[in-house]
Amino acid sequence: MSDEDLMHLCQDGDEAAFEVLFQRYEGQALSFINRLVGDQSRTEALGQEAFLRIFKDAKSYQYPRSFTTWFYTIVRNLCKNELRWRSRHPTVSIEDSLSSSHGGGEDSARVGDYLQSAGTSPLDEMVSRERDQRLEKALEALPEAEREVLILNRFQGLKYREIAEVVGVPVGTVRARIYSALERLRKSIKDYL
Amino acid sequence: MDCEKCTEYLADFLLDELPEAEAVLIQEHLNLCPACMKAYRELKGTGKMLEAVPAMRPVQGTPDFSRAVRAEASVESAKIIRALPPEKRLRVEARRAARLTKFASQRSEKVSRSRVWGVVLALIIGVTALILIFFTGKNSLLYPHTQLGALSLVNGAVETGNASEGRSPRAAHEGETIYAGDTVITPEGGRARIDLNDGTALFIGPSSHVTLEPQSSSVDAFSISVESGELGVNKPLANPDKNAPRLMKWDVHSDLGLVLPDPGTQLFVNVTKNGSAFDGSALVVSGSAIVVSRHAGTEVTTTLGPGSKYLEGSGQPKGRTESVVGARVPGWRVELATEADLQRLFNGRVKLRSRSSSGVEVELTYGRETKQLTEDWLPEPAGPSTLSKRPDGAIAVPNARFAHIVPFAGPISMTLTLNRDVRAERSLAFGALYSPERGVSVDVSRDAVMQVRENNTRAHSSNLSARKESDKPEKLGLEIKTDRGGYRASMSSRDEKSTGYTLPPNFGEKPGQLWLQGLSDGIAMDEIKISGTIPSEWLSEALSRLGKQ
Repeated sequence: MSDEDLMHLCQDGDEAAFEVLFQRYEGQALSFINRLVGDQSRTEALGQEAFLRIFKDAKSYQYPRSFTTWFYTIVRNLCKNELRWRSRHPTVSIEDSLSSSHGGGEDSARVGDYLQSAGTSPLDEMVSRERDQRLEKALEALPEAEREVLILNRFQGLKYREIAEVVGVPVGTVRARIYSALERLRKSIKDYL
Repeated sequence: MDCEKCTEYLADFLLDELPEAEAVLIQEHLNLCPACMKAYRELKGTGKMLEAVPAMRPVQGTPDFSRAVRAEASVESAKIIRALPPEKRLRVEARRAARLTKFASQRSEKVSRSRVWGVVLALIIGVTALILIFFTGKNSLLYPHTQLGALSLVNGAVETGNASEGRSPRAAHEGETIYAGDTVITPEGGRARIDLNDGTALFIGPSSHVTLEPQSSSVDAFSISVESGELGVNKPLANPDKNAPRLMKWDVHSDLGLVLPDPGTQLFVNVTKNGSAFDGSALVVSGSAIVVSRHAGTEVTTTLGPGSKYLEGSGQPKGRTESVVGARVPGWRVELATEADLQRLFNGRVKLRSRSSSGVEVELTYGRETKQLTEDWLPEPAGPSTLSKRPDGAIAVPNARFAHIVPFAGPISMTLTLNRDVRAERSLAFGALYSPERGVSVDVSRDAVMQVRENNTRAHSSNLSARKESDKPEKLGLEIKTDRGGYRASMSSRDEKSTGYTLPPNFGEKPGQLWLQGLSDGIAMDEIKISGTIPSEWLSEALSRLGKQ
């Protein structure tokens, strides 16, 4: 049964239909929230709210429109609210402030420091760790509009057309944002490609 | 399709967002344009690396999460149902029961349908694989005294002769011209290399007997006949340049039958005679080849791809093919690596000192006159090659990253000449790393401090008085020499040399790696000099990779 048919049943309070949708979208939704919000302690709380909206906002769903885009729109809006709230109430992590004080110079990690890495060579270990850190920073530094479309496309597997519907912008804008995001990331790890 | 258009649609192509017709045009352009292909690979690589970012990894809900969602959903569902009119409430219950039964049967139907499609697909692939590829005919004859190439390397008491001209085998020498009809015979432990005029390299292994026989009815074709022993073939891709030599027509003939390698193929044919019986194999390292053999009076054609090995001979079923994981050129071919081969592998000035079965002793120099530093010759996956040239010609070493990693087998020496503009506070480290499992590393830092670490613990530290004068070139060196059956590491600066430290006994049992790492911005060198032995294991792998490019 299609997602749309299941959602149509949920509009009448069908719990079994909800169970199937929950199983299909649990991993996707939690991963999307975690990727967008970047805070594991809030992921499940937001996920719980998102799934309850299937019943709570059931009336706003227009059968047979795509369930995926309708549901992703809900999840995205919850995440946006969370991020907006967080930007108004900033907190500083103790770990972050400690690690930022660590500089380069002679004390920086040398190849020999990775000797005990199990399985892989210390060279590979150090290079891949450095590359991943750089990519992660670049990903964090992306403008939010680019970051969310990139996540929706690369990790959630949504097509341009679906993303346009979720984000509420034309397909051309989605296309431009994804290209711009990929280019920024490519430049940030150019030395490793 | 031009480059501008291709670039515009590259991300769409990568993300599978283009209509098929446009995707075909992009693919065609990428096949023809190395610059766009590079951009595409970089974009694709970025996408792939994103998957490794920890923050992007998929997450799963905890059992508590699932329980909480189900419990609250149950409450919300009850609210909706309670609000429904009574007759609709009954309909919902009935529909739900019916749908669940149907859903279960549909799932099992889907599984069996996908199995049928799997079988059909396998049949299509099988039939396609059976389509025979055409091969060149043998309708020609080489004139006598046709020069086919030259003997570029001779290792051991190798002999050449020509039965059709009545010339019995005699000692061969490097540079000797090879004619149609010539036979090359290598003794046990001996090897030879013939460079054909079309750029093909033939590697003749130990105890081999190979003849370049003119074919019976063609003016421009010949057969490389392997009577016994091992023959390696490195056939280049056709060069589109009009002035470049055209690929000659030849095949490899042996008891196995005919082997026809396609352009751009690395192939090894091995034939061992045992009285009238034989054991033979043809292994394709890269590219593809066709084997035409005769079984019970019928010609059988087998297509070999990279890593495919065709076997035939006593005690084996006729014409068996097996897959060889990580197929690569045999170690003996390393002894036949020419300076040109090494220049292709290493960017920099390579001076070939000696070859042996364990590796090739070289001197590598990267200096102001070295034009290209960033070619990807590094062993996979060793990291980026990030040395670059400053406008004044000095070699810039980036901060906290591997700039160059060279595999080596001791003894070895590495000397850096720092650019005079490099100020004192800028630091770097370089050294040798051996056996990650048992862990020994030796490094020298900018302050002329040498450290030896064993299993991640500092085993030794010594220093020289480092020079940090901005107006004078500075030298730092690390040397690892054999010493009483083991290895001893010492460091040197422009004016001093340390007494050294005897490395742990396990150092040098296996090949290690040399590395260079900037620890601050603005590090620059006038010269990097490395001398030592590049292990044959790595070279043989690198030569295999070279064939695949």
